[in-house]
Amino acid sequence: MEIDLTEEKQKTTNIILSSSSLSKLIQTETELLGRNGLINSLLKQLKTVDSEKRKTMGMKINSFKQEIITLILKQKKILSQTKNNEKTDITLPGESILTGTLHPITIAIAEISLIFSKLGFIRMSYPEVEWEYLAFDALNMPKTHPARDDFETTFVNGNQHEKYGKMILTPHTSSGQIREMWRLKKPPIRMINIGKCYRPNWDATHTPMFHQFEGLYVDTDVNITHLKGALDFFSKEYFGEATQTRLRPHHFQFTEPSFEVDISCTMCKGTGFVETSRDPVQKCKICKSGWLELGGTGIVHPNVLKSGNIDPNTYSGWAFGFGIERVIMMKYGVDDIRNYYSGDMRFLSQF
Amino acid sequence: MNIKILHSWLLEFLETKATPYEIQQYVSLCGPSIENVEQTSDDWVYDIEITSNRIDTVSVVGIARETATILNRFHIPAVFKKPNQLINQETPKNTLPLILRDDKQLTKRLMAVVMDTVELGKSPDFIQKRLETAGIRSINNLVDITNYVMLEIGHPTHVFDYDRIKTNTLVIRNAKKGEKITTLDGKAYELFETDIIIDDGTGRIIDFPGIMGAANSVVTNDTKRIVFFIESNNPQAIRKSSMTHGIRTMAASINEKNPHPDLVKEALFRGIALFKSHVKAKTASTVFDIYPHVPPAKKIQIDIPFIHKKIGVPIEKKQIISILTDLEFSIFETKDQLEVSVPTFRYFDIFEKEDIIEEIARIYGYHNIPSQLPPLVYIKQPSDIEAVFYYQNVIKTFFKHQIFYEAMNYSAYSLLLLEKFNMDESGHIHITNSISEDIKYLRISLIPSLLKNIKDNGGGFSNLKLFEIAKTYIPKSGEFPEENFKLSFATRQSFLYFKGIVETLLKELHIDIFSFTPSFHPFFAKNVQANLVIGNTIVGVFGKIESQIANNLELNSPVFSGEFDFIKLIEKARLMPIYKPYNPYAAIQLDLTIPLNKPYSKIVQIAKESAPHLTQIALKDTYKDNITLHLVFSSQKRNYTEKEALIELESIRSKLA
Repeated sequence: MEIDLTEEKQKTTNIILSSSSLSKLIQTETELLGRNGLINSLLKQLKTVDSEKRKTMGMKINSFKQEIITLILKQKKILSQTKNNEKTDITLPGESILTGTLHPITIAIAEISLIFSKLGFIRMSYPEVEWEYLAFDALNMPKTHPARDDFETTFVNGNQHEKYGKMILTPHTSSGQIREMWRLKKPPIRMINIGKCYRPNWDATHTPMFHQFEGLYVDTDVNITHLKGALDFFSKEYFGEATQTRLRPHHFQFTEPSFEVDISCTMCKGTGFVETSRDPVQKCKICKSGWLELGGTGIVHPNVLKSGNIDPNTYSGWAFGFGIERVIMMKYGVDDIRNYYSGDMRFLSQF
Repeated sequence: MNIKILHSWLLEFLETKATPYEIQQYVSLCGPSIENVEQTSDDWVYDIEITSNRIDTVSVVGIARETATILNRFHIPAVFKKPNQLINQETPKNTLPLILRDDKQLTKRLMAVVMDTVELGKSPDFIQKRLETAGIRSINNLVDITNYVMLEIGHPTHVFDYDRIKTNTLVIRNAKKGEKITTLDGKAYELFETDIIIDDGTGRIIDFPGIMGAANSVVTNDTKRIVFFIESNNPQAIRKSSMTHGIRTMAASINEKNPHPDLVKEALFRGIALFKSHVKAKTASTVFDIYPHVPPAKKIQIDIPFIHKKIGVPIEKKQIISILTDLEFSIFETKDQLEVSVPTFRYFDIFEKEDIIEEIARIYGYHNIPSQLPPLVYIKQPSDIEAVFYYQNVIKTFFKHQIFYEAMNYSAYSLLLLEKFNMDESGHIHITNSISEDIKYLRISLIPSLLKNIKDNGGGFSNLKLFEIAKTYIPKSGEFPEENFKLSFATRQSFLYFKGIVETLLKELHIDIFSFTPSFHPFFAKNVQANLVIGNTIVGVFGKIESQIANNLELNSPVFSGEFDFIKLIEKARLMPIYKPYNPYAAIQLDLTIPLNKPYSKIVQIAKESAPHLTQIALKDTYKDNITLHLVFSSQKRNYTEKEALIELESIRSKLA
């Protein structure tokens, strides 16, 4: 007996070429080349073939098998190419994957701590309920200073300390200066103290609680050039390389000389004027003549070093205290400070 | 405080060709901050911030002095035209009587003069304009001159109607509690003993000196004779009275900053001259002057190398002396040593060497001082502090990615809110001078604020999840309160969702050994709450908000919340989990459905005891009263077989039956 492959060849070629999907083609592949597939069944029929023709027949079946394999590979290539031609509307929205938010104060604290860590400043944390002595007397603020009265300082109940006076909610992070001097006992000191502060003031631009970051640097041979260098560094890192800083004379009890630090306005680039497509050149609304006030700084007053048990004849230092809400406003334009502590999702969900 | 003055007025005391913008730019760099310059039809207005220590600059004269000194450093010629030392040469023919008494020396200096034949009327235009620019309403030529002198010289002044005083007597004394005064703007105030007033000798109060005049002695349209009166006040008394009664006049703002008593005389004579020329008044009494304690001259020693060291720039001695002299300090020099005498108008501002350094450095120009990074040194950050900040970031980021929003609330809440949680105010520290009842009691828990946030945000955020990390303040009798960082969060989901967040957080912190035990916290429903225990320490408690509290807060659907001690929570936290080599052998996974007839923890315990090769057990599903457990069996020594696992499974089933 003989096996005629002509018809089979025609049939399999049609099946392979008409396979419209990869899965169908793989099914066809099994039907042809699998354990119980066409080729194997043909090979099984070999034993019925006359012995003299068996060898030639076997070779024919094998070459048929090779043809099938080649054809299937070819068809696979074609089909996988059409798979790449799949189309999708990329303008459809992505699936909604939710995330929460961090408070803008948290984000700013992380930024600020990182910048000062590059200058070797360590972040510390000091009490919010503080003695009058540490918040005022030790910082060279006399008993009669207006900032110490009921209208500017938040007092809490509790026993009065013989030496340290009443308990208050600290009105600035500067009380941390004395605590850091006491902790380290001996300079050098490089501290950044970030914390909540309290003042009895609640209006469009003040909240009774706010955040400050306080820098304290104490060492030998300290002068104004170092203070300028560090604050230039901070301003460029936080507000951008193009930021200019300037010092203006000011007055704080804990420093002498005292300065107000300004940075060139982030909105009008220090020109004092803005130009919009709608309006002609106008005065910049957010700055004063091209400059924005960053906050107060100065050379640590010798009396403050003395309170910290540090000899002002050997050591000197500089310090600053800036508002975090303020630097966020200056950098990101988040303006209404009352939103910060309202817990209002219309505000919180934006960050 | 800020003052507004006109360029033309400034030029009466300053000779310069500098433009207003140049003046703004340079003076702001080295002296008072000129926050704004505005052009009017024929003049310019400066808006100037006056710091509390520089009350000498609250005047046109003071600004002119600063401006001249500063402009010269920028090579713009400028001369300060010092006002002439005025003296009253007129000797009155008919002297009108006036008695001044300050027996307790409540003022530092008192000066007064009686003036006659006043011609009441409108002030000349230039006076009206200068006052209005400064934000002071023009009233009549008498009142206007008192304000004009204040703006020009920098000391508040007052004018009485001589005839309305009646007794010719002015007695300075403390008010008695409950006494009343009606100020010239018609407002009545009840006084305290700390207030200092003027009485006419009969007990009738006729002035609130240094703050505001009284309605019963102020000049009127019928005024013929006046007392021009200036006193140097006790700044603390002025501050207290002005703040307590809420009378924030410009006079009070200046007087509370302690202008030097020497200025009183300058202001008085300037006023007399103006009354003469613009009101046609004649002096009708001698000039009274009670000045019991003239402050002694003040001298400060400073050497040049010290100046150089502190500023960081070797400024020439010649330049140093020229700066100080321009600012009217007088210098006595010996080699490198300077003896600096402080002018009276800087008397309460300059105390020591550092103050002199500031004067030199600011006029030399902070912009001329170079900028350099301070030398680096290593300071060890205490490791507990480092951990607090590090894990705050880790935990906050974790919550953010679990779709929680970070809230920051005030550190205090109201009596109303704490009572809604059945708490007692006595367990709290409270603010004694709180400006709002909303923030009076320092928080001993963050949960009330978070629940209030959820309530306030309303229905629009039904799946709102909030967290906060902040301090609580626990009172300690006789000492400082305990300030502890707490982590709190709140959701509406379910108790098991909340517990899942806790467990996932512990996984994030790589804390393996923890348990949940029954708890009895009054914030939570009796049987729907638990303690989180790490090691042997209770770290926090969480649960479903107790229904009465939820009702008090008007929360319509259940809320779950909890609070954890931050330091205890992170104590066992690790950056990496403890590494265990994985088991290379095949494990068998089987499910088992059984009736839920005992606590889940008991089921797990029994299962583990009855199957030695049970290595993992998890809850796969619950349906009606049945639960399906997912069990993994394996051996550390070889591939485990399904047959062996099934035997153990049956053992579990029978033990749990």
